[in-house]
Amino acid sequence: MKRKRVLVTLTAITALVFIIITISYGYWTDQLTISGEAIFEIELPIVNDRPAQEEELIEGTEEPAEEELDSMRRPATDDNQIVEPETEDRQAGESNTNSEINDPDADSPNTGYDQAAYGPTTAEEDLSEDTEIADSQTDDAPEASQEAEDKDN
Amino acid sequence: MKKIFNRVGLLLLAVVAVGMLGVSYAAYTDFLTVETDLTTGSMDFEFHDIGGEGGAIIGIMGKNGRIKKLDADIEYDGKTLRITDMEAIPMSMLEDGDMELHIRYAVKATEDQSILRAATIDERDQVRSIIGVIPFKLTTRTPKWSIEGDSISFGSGTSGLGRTPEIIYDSLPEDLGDFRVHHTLIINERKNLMQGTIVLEQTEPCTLLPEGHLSLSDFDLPEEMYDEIGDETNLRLSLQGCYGFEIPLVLDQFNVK
Repeated sequence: MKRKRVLVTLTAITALVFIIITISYGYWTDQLTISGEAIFEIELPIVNDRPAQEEELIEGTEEPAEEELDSMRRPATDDNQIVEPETEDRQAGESNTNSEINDPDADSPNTGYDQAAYGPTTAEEDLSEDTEIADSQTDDAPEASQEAEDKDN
Repeated sequence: MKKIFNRVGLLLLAVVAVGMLGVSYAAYTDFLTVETDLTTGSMDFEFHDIGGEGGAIIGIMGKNGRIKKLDADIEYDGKTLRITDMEAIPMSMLEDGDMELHIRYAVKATEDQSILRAATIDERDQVRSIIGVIPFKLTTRTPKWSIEGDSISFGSGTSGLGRTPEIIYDSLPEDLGDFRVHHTLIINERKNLMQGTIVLEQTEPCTLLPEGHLSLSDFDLPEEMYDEIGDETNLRLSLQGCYGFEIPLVLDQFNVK
């Protein structure tokens, strides 16, 4: 019991001494603060990889088109009913839009696929033009052949 | 004879003797009075606006050894000095690891009754002049950014961009490393105040550039924006990050001269 009382007394005295020292130190010193925000800037180069991606995309679509072209050519040579002369004339009529169309090796299904790769809107517009041209050419074609026969005669 | 040495006579004799001793002592000595007030008054300082009084408040040490002033807003709020809207510092200055920021300030006693001066701190006093090491940490989560090309410029605040690209957050370091703080304090007798200088010295080089190149496709911009950029090649990302710091200044009156 006596030992406990001594311990409590010692603790109380120590705490009191610390409080006195702290208060004294507070009187003898002063604390101020400098705070702030510094702005740092950095400039980094950016690689524009977007056009490259588009090219890859187009190239990626052209490869299967060639394969598809070959697969479509084969039945066309086997069965002449698939390729109609009117269609060839129609493709020749839009030579200003696609150079591949003038390629003698190129057949009618190929041109349609390539145009679709540039966008459905363009393809639809071209398609509507094609039908007009095709209609006019189909009307003109018998007349031209009759004229040729007349000349021969 | 008997009458002379009676009680009254002896008392008078003693008084005269003591009086004569006093007079003789006074003749041989002199008294000077020193009056002094010994006080252990409390210290109470406040920051004092020295804007325009003798140079920059905050500046950066250039490669030529000269301090370049940085524009900033300084707020004096009693015991706190706050620096905001600071002129942007190129991050490339951190790459060598020897950047120094200098901050000048002044303090003045709030009352005449309190201690007017604190103990000076000399730069040669290595113990007292080095406060310690403080970090510079990113404070704003969303940095200011812009992508600029020869014919295009967009970024923070541009409408139609949607959310800030994630790569913007990844491109700024979370902290700029540690800075060692040096402190000096001198008395300005003429203005009756104390002037201090804080030097923030970079401790190590800071790695800033992210690994590899930044690709435009990494920004996840809206398709319309990509269409607008087109095939422009000279593109640059400009980023501004805000890094906060806090320096505690303990002034004392020990050994005040």
